[in-house]
Amino acid sequence: MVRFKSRYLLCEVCFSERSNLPLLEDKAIYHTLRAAVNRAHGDYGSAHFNIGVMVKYLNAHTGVVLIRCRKGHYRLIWSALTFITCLENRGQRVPCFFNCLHVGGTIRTCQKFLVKYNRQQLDRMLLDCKTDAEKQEVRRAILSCSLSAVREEEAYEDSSDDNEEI
Amino acid sequence: MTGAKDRMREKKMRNQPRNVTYTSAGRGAGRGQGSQVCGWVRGHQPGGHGYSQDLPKYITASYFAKARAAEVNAMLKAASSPAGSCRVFSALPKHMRRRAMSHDSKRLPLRLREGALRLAERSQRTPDQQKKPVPKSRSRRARRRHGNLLLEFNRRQKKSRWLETHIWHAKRFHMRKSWSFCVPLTPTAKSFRASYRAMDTHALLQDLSYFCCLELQGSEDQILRALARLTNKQTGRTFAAVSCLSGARQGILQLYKADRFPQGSLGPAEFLWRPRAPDASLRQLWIWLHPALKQEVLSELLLVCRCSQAVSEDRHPEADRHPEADRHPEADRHPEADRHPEADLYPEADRHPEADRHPEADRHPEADRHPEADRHPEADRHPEADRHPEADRHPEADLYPEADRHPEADRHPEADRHPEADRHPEADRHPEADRHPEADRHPEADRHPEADRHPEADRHPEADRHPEADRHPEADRHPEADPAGRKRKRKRDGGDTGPPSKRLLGDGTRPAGAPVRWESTDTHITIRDLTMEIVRFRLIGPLAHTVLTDTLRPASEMLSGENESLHQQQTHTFQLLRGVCSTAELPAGCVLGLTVDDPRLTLPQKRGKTVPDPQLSTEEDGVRDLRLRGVPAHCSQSSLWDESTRECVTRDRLSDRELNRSRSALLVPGSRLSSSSAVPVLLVHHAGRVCGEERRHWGSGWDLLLPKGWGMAFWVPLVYRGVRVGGLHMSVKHSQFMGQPHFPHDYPDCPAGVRFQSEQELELLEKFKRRPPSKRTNFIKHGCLAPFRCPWQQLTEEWEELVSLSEETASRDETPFTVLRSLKELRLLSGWIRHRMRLRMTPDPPRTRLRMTPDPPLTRLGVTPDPPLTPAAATALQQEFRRSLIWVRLRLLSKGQPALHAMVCVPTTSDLQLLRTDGHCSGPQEPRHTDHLRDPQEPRHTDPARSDPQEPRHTDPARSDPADPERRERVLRGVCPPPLPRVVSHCSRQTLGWVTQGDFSLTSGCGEALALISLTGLTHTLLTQPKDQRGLLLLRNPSSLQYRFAQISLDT
Repeated sequence: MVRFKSRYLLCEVCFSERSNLPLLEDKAIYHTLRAAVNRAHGDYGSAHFNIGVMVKYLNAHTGVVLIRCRKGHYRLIWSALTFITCLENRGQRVPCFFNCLHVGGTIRTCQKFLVKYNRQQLDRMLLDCKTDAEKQEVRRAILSCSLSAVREEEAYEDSSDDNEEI
Repeated sequence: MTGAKDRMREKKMRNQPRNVTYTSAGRGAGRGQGSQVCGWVRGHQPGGHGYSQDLPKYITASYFAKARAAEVNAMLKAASSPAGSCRVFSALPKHMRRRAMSHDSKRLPLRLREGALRLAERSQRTPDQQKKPVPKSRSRRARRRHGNLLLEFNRRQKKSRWLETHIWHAKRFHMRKSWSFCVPLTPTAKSFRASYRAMDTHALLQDLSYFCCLELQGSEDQILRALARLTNKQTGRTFAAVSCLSGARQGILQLYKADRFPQGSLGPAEFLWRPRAPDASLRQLWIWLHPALKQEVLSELLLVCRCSQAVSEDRHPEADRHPEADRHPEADRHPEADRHPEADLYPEADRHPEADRHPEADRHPEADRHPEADRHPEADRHPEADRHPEADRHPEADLYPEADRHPEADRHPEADRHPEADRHPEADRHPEADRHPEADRHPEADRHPEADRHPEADRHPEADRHPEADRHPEADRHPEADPAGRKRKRKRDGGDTGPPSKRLLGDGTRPAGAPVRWESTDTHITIRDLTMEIVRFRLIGPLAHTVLTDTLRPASEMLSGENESLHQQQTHTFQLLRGVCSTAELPAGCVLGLTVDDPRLTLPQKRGKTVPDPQLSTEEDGVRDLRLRGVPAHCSQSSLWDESTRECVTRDRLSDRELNRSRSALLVPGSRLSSSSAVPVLLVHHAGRVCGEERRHWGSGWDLLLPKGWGMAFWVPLVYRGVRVGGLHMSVKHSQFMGQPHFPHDYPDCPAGVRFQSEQELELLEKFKRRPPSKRTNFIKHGCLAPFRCPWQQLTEEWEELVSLSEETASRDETPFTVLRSLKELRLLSGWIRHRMRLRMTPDPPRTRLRMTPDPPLTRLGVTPDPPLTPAAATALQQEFRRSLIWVRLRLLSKGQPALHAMVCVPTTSDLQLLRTDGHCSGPQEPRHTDHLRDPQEPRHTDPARSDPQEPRHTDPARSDPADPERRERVLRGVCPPPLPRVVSHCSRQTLGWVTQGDFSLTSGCGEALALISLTGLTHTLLTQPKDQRGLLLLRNPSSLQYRFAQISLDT
């Protein structure tokens, strides 16, 4: 198949201060990343950056970011990630760093990885829980993301689709 | 477009997780943060979101865990479900895809099966409402079984009548449906030249059974008096022609509407009187007509004979037990259907079985009006039922009218369910039950067979399947329901109840109640419609008689009621035919009656070519007598004229199967079978070219008239004698080579001709439109105003105007144009034209002078010599026939091949001068016209060659208001739009008329055309031309600019 091959960097943004979480936006990440690449690799790097780099997914609650870049120079972007120390949005600078969790060829593999990773994290959280109430909560969360629940939901959506089409 | 694109994208992204930020958390809270309600929007949206300020001050594990769980869910959903546009199958990797997975979901892996099933169900469900279930047809083998094939053929004959040789032709010819017949057009094999050669030297065979025969019966005086109103002596023969009246000759004449001679032309007809029988006072007359003009002639005949009493009869003696009783064609196709409106309005009237099958009801004049006698319009016209010839045979029919319209038998739908009816099936099967004279008097006896047949008809599976079934409940159901019943019957009791043949003979499309006979109370003339009752084959060519003598053998045993000595004489005359060298030697139109054996018995083993054998004939005197006097009048008698004999012969025909069986049972294989049946036939000579000077008698031949049902039995033996078979196209060419007008083509003043012209126009227009616009001929540029249909009326009017303007005797009225057929005037014109031909043929001028005295044959006959061409004579002729066309032949002087609708133009003086200086010059050129419709901006270019500039040339409104969009749209590019400008003076040479048939003539070796030109224009032209170049015209094809010189000739 002939297509543009991409690499997806699945990263985690780690803030030191929770109050700055609202500032986490895809646009801000994009600009910060561009600045970082420019700083690290100069004009050559920013030229590469302008081709095909995009923030595909952002979850501010968990701090997960999915960045797409071209396969040919993903290392360039990746290396610039390490140099980000703060995020700049609406005149505020928030100290943070990026932690690359996974590099995948398709969004799908990244999603699969993320599912695995999040489960892992939840399991770890369960171990670290201090109180029983917390434990209960986390347990419920783990149960809620089991596969069967998803299946049911899917079936529901499909039937609603059918109704729309008819 | 963007909407659709967005929708597609949205569908694709439906399952993909969206960004989760705090800015939109407030909105997405309702459904969990993983999937938000807000739609996908491409790109960044500035200022679209408001910021919620209620941030958590601290983070708890539970909150974080929830967020993670939501994300896991979202990701799971995204990763596990396929993208929106992709099907289940394409989600599968390529190496796992298998053939026909969508057909059989078990070929899919288990995990995808469910989705595939759902998809399949959905795709079946939605179009199911629109999709019709595919009709389940029987297997080919079942369809091709003989009985089913016959059923299918009979069903297909409802739409158009088939000739008896239809199947033979359909395998070898292109067929065309015209005049409600299926007529062979051209052979699929290349055979044009071969057919011409056959016509020229051997024989060409055609099936002309589609010609319609009308029979008139009555006293000679009455018939002649009535028919005299339809003909005129000026056009040649009438019905009272002496040679024809004895029955020894067949005649051809022109029919006109009653008492409207110069106007109201109907068309040509052939007529044949039955020779006077010694003991009969009534005469019989057959009028053979082209099917296109049958209806008009029939209505005129009814008018002049005052035959108002239509009798819808089905009076075959074997109607009760013979399949012919099943002929129930559709009511709406027949033009007489308007006389029987109740045939459509009251379908239940037709569905009564006894109306069709019951012997009484068939013959009874009241058969079709029993339940609603008061509503029937015919009821008034049949006041005297006892007048009916059949009525006396069945007096009880009148005495017991209840027998026919017994309430239970007719009207009660529960007759089907009658318990008795089912208990008496033998009443149905018993062949005598129908014919039993007593049965009529007993309503019960009637009821049983009828009631039994009802459910049969309803139960038949075919009846409902046919699309016409609802339109014509009875017409369709009966012929099929019936054989089915018959078949079952045959299975039950050994097949001796009736002949197994179910072949449709005769006219298959005639409705059940349509009249085939009309009677008159005051003139006592009976008109009978014998369409398809008599098969007519035509043999054209000099050896036609040889083929006939080879094929036909005079019968060894006689038909019942035939005269032995007459048969001997006829046989003798027929044998004399062998001594004749060419068919053309015989006098035109002579008729020979004959009774022959079944020609299948003498079918040669191999197909060969008949050659004349002069040794066979020894009687020189007899042959000479035959040549000079023709067939003696009494030999023209034949029992083919008797309807009962015809029916009898048709019924007694051995089927091919039986014949083959007896042939295989012969002791010595290949020896001759003993004859079992004698067939009366009529041989009618038809003259070839009777007028004109060159190629006289070309194209003569014999017509073979047979009783119906015998078509194929004679056809194949004739074909085995090496004749060529031609179609409709060949008969057009035949008349073209003969230089005779062909019926619908060259008769634009007849209603049939008008109809033909409009059909032809549509056809040509379709053909024209089929080409891409850049490849079409631009007729405007060629100055051709009417490439598809000739405006005859306009032509005659314009010529009249043009000529009378100079003479100041203009008169305007709405007289329709006519074609001049009056022999005297044609002879006069022919003489005027022929002057030049004589001059040209003789090289020496002084001797020409001597020969230029009036026509020798005319002076010899004692006819006063024609007046020479003077302006006074021409004016008189013009005054008398103001709007007349005449039909002329044109022969090109040098090369060129005239096409259909080529223009016949008047040469200018310089053109004639050009020809005089250079005898081989090809002719002048028409300057190219400007297509003002194509490019309105182009400045109008005036033709330098135009003779009179003050003539209003471009008067077509399309040019005057090119802005009118509707008109511009309707205008076909390259064709002049409807209100035509002046046709006569449109081009640089004045138009006289148009060619109706034109081709390279194989007989004369140059291009020949048959054209209709304006009489006024012709005389006007002849007057202006010098004597030695009189009759020279120009011919130009519609798609060419080149004029060609052509010599006109008029045969009388």
